[in-house]
Amino acid sequence: MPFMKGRAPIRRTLNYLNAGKLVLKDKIKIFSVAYNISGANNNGAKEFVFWYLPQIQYKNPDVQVATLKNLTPSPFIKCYFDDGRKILVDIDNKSKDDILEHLINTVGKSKEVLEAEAIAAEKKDNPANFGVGCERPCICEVYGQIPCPGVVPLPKFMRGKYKNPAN
Amino acid sequence: MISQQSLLKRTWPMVVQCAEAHRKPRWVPVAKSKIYRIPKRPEVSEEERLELLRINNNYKTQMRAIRRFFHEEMIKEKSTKDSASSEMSLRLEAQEWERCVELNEKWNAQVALEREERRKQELIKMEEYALERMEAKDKELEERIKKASEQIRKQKEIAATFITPETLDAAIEHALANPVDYNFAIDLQGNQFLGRDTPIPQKNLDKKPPSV
Repeated sequence: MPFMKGRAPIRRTLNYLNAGKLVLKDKIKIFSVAYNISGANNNGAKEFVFWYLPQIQYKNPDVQVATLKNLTPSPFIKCYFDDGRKILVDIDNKSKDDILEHLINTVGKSKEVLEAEAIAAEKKDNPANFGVGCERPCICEVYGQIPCPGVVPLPKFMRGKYKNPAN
Repeated sequence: MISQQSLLKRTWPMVVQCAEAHRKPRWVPVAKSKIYRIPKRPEVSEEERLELLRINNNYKTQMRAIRRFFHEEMIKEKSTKDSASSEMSLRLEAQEWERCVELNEKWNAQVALEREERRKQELIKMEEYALERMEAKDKELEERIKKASEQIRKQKEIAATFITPETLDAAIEHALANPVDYNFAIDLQGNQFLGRDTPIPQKNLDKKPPSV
């Protein structure tokens, strides 16, 4: 897509996509929204699809997000779990924010879980970290850093023995 | 020799120790003075050999037993821990699932209630609309009937003056008796003079010559 083209191009910006609040539970594999394009009771579902579906798909890349348009008498959201369970949410005549709030409470991960996962991910993901539990135990393993003096002696100008000959 | 690059790329810190300060490099061959020296095989007596074998066997058996004991203990501990944690997580998950389902049921019931309410309202509105339309239709029909009956009444009134075969002769006679002449003349002032043979008053003509 070209930059700043189409309806509400803010939906395609990275900041907007990252601001999505709904992170689905790991067991959810399919997230489907069924709604009609006409009727006042479908407005909330329509706006939900328009504004929040990009965020949901961005935040849950391993989940299949499907929309079923004009195939239902009243709008609903259905989530399929990996063990065959389903959860059906009726979104008739509800605003998009109400729907999102309810989904976060039922099928989304709670705030504490998300925070714990973020901390765990940060430790592993950040290549700048080193030490116990990280990818590398010592900064000396990074190319361009000074090797540990136990392995390769430091250059002479850094060693007290040569720097301070008086001692 | 260990290259600098391999040292930098290693994954674990390494401790380099030298067994001796000075050792003959690997590539240096056997010294000339030792080239034909054959070391004597160690002589072990039969009793000593058997004794050593016994001791070694004992040692190996005991070590194997200890190792196996620790290994089995570890496996047991791990399995108990795993089952406990998995049970715990399963229970937590089931609880979470129940909570979500309950919340969702509540929400769905609420939405269903609202929808029923809305549907009722819509039905009432639809009925009202239909009634209104029916009434309007009825009114229009009535109006049309009224208009038609009015027209019929008028036509009936006029029908008395129609010319029929019986009154044809009288009508012809009446027409012949009262001829109508639609011819007319018009002068510059816009005065109309009805009739073909109507004489034109001369006073206008009299006035004209002096002005010319």
